[in-house]
Amino acid sequence: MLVSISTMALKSAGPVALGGRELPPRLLGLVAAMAPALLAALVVTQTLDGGRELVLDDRLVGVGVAAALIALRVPVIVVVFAAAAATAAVRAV
Amino acid sequence: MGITRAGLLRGARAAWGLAVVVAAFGVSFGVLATSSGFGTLPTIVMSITTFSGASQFAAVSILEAGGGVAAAVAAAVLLAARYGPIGLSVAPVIRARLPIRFLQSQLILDESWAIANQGGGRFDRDMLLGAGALLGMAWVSGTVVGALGGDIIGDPETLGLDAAFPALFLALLLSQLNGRRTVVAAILGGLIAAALIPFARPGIPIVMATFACLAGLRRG
Repeated sequence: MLVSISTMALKSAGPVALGGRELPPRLLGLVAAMAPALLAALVVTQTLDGGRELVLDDRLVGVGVAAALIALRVPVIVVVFAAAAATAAVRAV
Repeated sequence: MGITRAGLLRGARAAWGLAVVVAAFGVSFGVLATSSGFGTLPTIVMSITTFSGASQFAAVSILEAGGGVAAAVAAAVLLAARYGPIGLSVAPVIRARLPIRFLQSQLILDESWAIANQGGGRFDRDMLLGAGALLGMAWVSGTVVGALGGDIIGDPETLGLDAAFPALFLALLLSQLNGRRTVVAAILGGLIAAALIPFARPGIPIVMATFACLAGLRRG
């Protein structure tokens, strides 16, 4: 219950408070730079986080394959499944 | 501006592959929660109302390990703390009466937010809602299957599905690196997260990484 209430509150705090008003230009600039910072942090934590330590494991292979495919301009959906397949393949060995 | 069906469909189309992955994790959450003593109904209700995979897995795992309610809630809240800045970033496009804004905000997820991100601080509201709704249906129906039917797919990690999420975020990140400031913010954000993982509780590295956007503010 508490978990539900707090995540609902956290998600809605910004939109409920601001209610569709435009952000001031300075803040908009911050948001523009926040997206890449947050995306990079998500990539790092979901690839390297081994529970309070950095680990290099099978996920890194999948993300590496993803990086290569992205460079080749492969569609995102193919990239996502290829990353999963590569990780599964390494794990199965 | 009303919500257009075309916009919602664009978001759903961008998210369908991910929805398959999310459903698989929904099944494994349903299995984990019911096998650690949660009732079937509370498990399903939690997926509908909390709708944040990482927070739910953390809370249930801690409860199962005997960590106590306070620890479980604290871990879940820390993991959801990133929705503060995320919610702020999309706030300008969530325009409606208050109850509607509140409901629409619940469709904000890492994935729907990333898909709706147009770069330069702009977001496509319809894509956010379309992607969020599809992923929500996938998550909840996965949970129902796992809670009622048990373990039908095994561990999603055997299929490498945990690597699907960073792959998506990497693709979306690289697509919107334009100019020095975004590159600097991305590198800083990644470094901050990596540096904090060994020391901070889960969730904190991601929140702290958002402060990387302050880099170059004076010049920006």
